[in-house]
Amino acid sequence: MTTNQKRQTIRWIAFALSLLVVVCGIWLLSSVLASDIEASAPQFGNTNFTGLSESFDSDGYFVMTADDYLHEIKGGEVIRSTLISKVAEDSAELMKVIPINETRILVCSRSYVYLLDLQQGADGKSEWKQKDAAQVYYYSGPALYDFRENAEGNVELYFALNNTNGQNINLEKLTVKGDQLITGEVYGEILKTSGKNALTTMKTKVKALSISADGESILIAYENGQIMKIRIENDDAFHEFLNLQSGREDRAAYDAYGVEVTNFNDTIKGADGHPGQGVLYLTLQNAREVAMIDSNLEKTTLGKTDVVLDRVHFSGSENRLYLQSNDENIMHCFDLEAGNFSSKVTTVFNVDAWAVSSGTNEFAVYWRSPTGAERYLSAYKLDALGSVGGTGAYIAVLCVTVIAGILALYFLFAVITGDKAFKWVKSTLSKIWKGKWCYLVLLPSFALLVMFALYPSFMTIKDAFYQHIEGQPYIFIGFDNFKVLFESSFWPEMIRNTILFMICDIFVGIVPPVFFAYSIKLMRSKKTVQRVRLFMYLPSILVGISSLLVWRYGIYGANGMLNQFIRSVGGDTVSFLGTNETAIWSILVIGFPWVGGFLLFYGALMGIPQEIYDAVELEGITLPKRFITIELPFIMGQVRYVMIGQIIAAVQTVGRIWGTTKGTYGTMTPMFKVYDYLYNQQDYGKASAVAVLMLLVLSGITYFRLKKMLKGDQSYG
Amino acid sequence: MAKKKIVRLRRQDQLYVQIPTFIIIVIAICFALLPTIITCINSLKTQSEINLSIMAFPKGFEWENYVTAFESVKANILSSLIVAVVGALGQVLIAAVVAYIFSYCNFFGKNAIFYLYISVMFIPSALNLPTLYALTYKLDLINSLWGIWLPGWAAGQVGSMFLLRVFFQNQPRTIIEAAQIDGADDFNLALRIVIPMTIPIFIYLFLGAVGNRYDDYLWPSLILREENLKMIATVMMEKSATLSESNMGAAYAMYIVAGIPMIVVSGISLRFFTGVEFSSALKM
Repeated sequence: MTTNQKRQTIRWIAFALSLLVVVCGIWLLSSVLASDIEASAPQFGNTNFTGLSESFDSDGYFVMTADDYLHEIKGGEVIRSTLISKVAEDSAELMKVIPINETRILVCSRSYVYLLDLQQGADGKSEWKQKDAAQVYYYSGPALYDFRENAEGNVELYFALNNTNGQNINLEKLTVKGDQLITGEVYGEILKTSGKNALTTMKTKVKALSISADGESILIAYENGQIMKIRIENDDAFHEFLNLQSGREDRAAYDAYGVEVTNFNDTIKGADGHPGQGVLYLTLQNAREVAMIDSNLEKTTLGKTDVVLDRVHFSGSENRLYLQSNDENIMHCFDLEAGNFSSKVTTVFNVDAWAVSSGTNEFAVYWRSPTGAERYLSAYKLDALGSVGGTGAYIAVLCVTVIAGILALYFLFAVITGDKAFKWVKSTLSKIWKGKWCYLVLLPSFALLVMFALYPSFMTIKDAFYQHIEGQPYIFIGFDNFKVLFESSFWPEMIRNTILFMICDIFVGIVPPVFFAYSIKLMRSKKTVQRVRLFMYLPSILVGISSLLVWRYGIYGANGMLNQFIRSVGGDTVSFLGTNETAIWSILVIGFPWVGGFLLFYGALMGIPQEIYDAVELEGITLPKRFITIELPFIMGQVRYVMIGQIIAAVQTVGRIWGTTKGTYGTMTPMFKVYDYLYNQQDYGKASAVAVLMLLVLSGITYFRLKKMLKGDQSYG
Repeated sequence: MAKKKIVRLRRQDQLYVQIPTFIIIVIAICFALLPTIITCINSLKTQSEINLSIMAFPKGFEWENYVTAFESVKANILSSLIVAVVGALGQVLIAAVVAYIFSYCNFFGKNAIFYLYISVMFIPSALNLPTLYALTYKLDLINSLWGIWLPGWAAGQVGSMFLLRVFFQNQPRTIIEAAQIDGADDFNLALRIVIPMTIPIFIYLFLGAVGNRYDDYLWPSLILREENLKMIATVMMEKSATLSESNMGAAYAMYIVAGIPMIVVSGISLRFFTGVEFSSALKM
């Protein structure tokens, strides 16, 4: 080998090894990216969560799962799991635990309440023993209860419950006396949503209850901004005051029944009560504020925010409010003693319930996917109010690793080969110094490139083998993500759909546009192409998603063009996008007649020299034959270009699915599954697994493109 | 006497070819315009008229629909435009700087770094997505427009840079050399000579980038969750679902209103750039 060849080989080896160093460096550094939560939530496999509540002393919390188990968690570990044996008629999920004291809790499902005591079991370990069960019909929401200890030392719980026809809401009391639950005391209706008397139908919801400390009156907050204070003993008030809800502000009538009312004239988005204190904490929609209302119906504004806060949770042990909005992934923490927002933490979206562990500054959240179908458990630690630190340094380290890795190995190899090593190093260093301005100008762009375009690819490949879910610990799980994919119900349809899209997109990307372009070229008038371009310009008023939506509603919809036609000839409405058999085919048809990409082929066709036509025309050739022998070879380049583009796009089809069926009715595609995992579950691991599979499928095409590029055919870039 | 030119009609110019071809073209255009026609007609109808017949002409012109549509999405259109324009501008400017460096400067490792840039074009976007989302989350760029711009610039700069570099390299070096002889340094060179030459292609790339980003749906729907920040694609989809039963006419009006910026952009491209140049420029 000549010196030059040796040098070339060395350079290639150096490049490959430096790439390896960079990859390893990223691998090691990348763990920083995963949730570095010090808190952790236990995993329960595939069981769906149904409830989360704080324990009495707030150093742990209770989790209820769909299989009727009550799990008690302290310090991130499950210390006790109890099967709640529900009453036979109780088919509802367990929703909430109301802790009465350290050894006594009430576990509520939607229709029953179970009393449990902590006792020494046969094996010396303490376990929860069920003492009694009581029916409370249709307990409809986590804040719709309050409790206090009455004069005899028994605990009284007040619930807002849907009555038997599910339409109106009653206030009922349940007393815990000894080992028994005593029900039956119904005070009356606090919300009438329908019924005989149309005037009394209130189109709103009950948001929260709060019983006053002396047990004599109750505060009820309604979503429409109204707060009522009713004296408990006044039965008439509960039955009759609703007649006043028709909008007439009849103060005299209110007074007659001893009902006090105040109205915020704003929607109450979130509400929670301070048990037994007669105080409610609310968030208001338009005013964007957090407020407190006390037993005198006096409102105090506690703080203001820029986002609408949908949920409030009061934590007694901490004397704090936890607030979150549906659209934001930031949980705000308001310190009631200090009277200000004390901290916030980035969590997931859509938090449904919280449980706070005092002392450890840690809390668990149970959150649902944006589609609302699944729920997950995660744990977080509160940070002090401030920025998310450390990531700036992280970015810098990343960039430096890339550059340093490449340089280091270059020099390493220069030294090893001993090929006038030091002189080479010195000359290279001076070359680098000469180009310093170029590097400087290139730096911002290069940093962006590395961080947002190169690094993520490597990390995704790594993540496919890890459990990386927001709010969960980052652990290596090998091929588990892939196993879940292969065994899932949507795997076959994903493969089928990808193949369908590939075949279909290649066809519609080439045949109709070529045909159309050829037709235009055949026309005698030279102005045809300009007129056609003008007409084809008009659809650009509809951006991509709009066009898709017009197909979805205007053509495929229940009142769409196709269905109106079908009905007019006597048929039944067809749900094109809502049936398994028709959905994927309907999506494939979208875009008919697919002639939009004709310009590329037209340009190619116009490039054919006139002489060839003249020569062929003399021999008298038919048009189809002429097309095959003359036009086709000339456009093969464009055909190949479009074909490659279509294959790459087809494997990554997502737009048509996202805008129409969102993957339902047999239309799931891999790319949409990636989006699904990210949007609904924030499961980066499984999303990465699907992405890696897509990479494998596309690797053949990518290699082909790369080869063409290196040969000099720059168009495949 | 002027010689009359005898022109024998080519086979393709004969009527039995011309007429069917013309019909084919007209039919194709009609079908291609179908969604647009449906949108225009139905945007002026009330819901009951739509339920009656999609293809019928509106009896009375329900301009109300346009007012409703505009009011409900104007904030989102503005947000989308800002995101698209700043994004496109940043992308083209960064690409121009990088392309200039790669075309006119020589420095150690130039080829290696260039290949690094090109390698991005061979990475499927699906591979980037999961980690990009995790990274954006970690950097607290959720609900921030920078979460759209930064990744957009990182990926978009490569394509634009590639085209610009080819363009720069195709510029006649004689002008540049003449300027250098006259004593122009790098900065003057860039400012006075190179940039004016490349304005047309800048505009072309800029318009193309705006068109791509305006109706982007996937990434913005992951990143922008707040009502006012949401981009137009997400908003139109959500609103169409609620409007489909109650007032579909307003939905159609919404598509038109939201599409106005894009038809302006396409109009400019149509006027100044014919696609034929692009096709032949790609040496297939």
